[in-house]
Amino acid sequence: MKPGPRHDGLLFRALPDSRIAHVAVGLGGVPYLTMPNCLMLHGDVDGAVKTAYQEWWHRAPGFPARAKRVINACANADEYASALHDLDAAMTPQVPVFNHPRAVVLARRDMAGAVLNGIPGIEVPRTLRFSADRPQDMMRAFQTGQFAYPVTVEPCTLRNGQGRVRVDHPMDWQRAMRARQVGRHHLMVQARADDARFPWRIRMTLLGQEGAVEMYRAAGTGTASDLPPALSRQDLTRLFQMLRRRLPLDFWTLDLALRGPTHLVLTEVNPGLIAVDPTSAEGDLRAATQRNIERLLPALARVLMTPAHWRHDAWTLRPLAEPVARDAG
Amino acid sequence: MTRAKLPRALKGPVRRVLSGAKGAAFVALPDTGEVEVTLDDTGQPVPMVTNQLILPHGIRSEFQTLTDRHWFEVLSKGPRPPLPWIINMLADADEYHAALVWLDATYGATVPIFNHPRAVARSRRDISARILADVPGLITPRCARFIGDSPAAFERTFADNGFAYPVLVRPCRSQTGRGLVRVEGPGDWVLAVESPDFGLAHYMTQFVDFGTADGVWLKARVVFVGGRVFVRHIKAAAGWLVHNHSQGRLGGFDDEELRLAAALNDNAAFCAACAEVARRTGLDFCGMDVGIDVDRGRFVLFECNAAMSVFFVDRPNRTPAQLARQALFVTPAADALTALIKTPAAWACASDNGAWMREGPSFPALTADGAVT
Repeated sequence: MKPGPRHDGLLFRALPDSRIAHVAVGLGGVPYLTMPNCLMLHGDVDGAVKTAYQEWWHRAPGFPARAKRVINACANADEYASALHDLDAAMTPQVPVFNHPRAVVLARRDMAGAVLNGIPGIEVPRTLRFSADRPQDMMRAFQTGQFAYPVTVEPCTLRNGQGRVRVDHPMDWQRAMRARQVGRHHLMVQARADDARFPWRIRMTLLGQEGAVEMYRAAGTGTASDLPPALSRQDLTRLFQMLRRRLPLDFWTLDLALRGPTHLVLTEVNPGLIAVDPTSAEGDLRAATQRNIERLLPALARVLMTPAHWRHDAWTLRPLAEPVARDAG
Repeated sequence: MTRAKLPRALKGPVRRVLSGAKGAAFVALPDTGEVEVTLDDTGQPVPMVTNQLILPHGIRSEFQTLTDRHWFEVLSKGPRPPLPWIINMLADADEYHAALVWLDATYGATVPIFNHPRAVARSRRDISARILADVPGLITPRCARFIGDSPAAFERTFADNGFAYPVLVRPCRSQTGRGLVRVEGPGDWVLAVESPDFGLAHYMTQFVDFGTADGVWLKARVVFVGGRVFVRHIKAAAGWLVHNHSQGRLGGFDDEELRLAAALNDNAAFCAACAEVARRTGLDFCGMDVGIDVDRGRFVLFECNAAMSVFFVDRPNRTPAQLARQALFVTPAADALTALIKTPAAWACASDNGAWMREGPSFPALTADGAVT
């Protein structure tokens, strides 16, 4: 199952706008880099992709302008803003793009909230994206967004609760302000006082026409005897269909807090395989992630090798050259 | 700040298990597990190594035959091989704290180490300022380390340490002026609070004016190799910030640089101060940046550590003048360093002056809030 000559395929990768990456040393003494928030290809999938696509790093010499199919590995609108912008500008509607940059930008947490709002059974908390360069920016965002206590604040480029600070009352702003990352955008999300009573999360993964659901417990919540509310297969099928219609990504995940069999609260949206990176999660989420990897890898290989089946409707979204959102702060 | 792309040789697998005869080049990743990345000439991402010892270009291939490269991240997880000697490539106690502590605890008292980790720890700006505070002939501004995670933290550090305006505030691990803010008065703290480095460990340093009577600011870089002193360069600017990329940096300064270098070498007070600095640091190789006003005999310490950029890749097609400059400012220090590296018996840790590296309390506990215990 090979989609075409290798030189026609482009695996588009980029350095983060921050130019900061993770580095580790393998047991063989070889340091290796891991780019944050990007599509991660594991094992056989990685091998298959590399035989059918040539990897090209954004801003490296020799842009393969004649690429006939593109896998976009940049999976965060804040981390890779410039690369996504340039890829969108360089491509034409005739070229299939896996996880099109316009759709990746649409998956930005604040924008995804608007896109997914109104789906029966899914509650989308009020969300505001803002820059927190000045200490007073947080309070300003709180007022601008007409939030009420409690709220959570986190940098847009972190996932799975990393860097998240919960502000329950005015005395907590100091803690949030200390944790802020100047020069980076943040998200303020409306929380609820009784969030801790609902420890169960579901991670829904949408890949082409397939979908998977894994349950996990949010870090530090719940007890071993907790049982999650049951979701019916019909409800899930209906949800997958609606989600797919709303967000034209080929591969993405969303995390939802489970408050009841038909009451889900959106907590996170991530394009790409980043959501099944086992090193990025702890505890329950890590195990759920590993199950997702095993379940979806064969399907991912199939989807990546079938450009004709990729979502083409992302082309109807607004080009990234146009302003896509007005930030607060 | 030394800063270089990771050479190809460092990216390959460890080439062989230690024979025991070869020394070790000890390297590590930053404690944060994060590095700045760039694309190399082939368009592939490479990490930028910061705050590590950079050797003279001419010795690098020979160095690879003399040593095996050992990553802290690998070495610390397995059996500890016997090592005859170690070149510690890590030059910043903030950036590589975990690796330096481990190196000291594991080999510090038993194996000769070039740039011993305890000496590197002492080169942290705030500790260095204390150690060098009373060196005759050298003005050493006070320096405090703190976590800059609230507006109050900056002002409290200022008040608690008896600073006076203006002060210089910079994030730890940063050199070459990146993130440097000059705070002229109470209204300027916002410059530090609204910086991308907010929340990180910072240094606050008393600003001491080092301008000359001619209205020029001069900065000299001095290199210490095994106690010997070499003037590496002198730069001039029309303002207090003297860096390669400073807007006010003065060009056409080559002849004056030669004159000033000679004047420094002939200045007995300066030479005595340098000798004392070299003795106190305990580093085998390091650099010192110092503001100079030779006519008035004022020398103001900026920093002194092993993370200085001293040796650069030789450019092709250099002019005779550039070659002459190389011979004057670079080659002597490079030759001295090459010879010293090959002579572990001459390293500071083996000398009487270096007994504190082999004995006594272990690596100083450098706490997050900057205290040294």
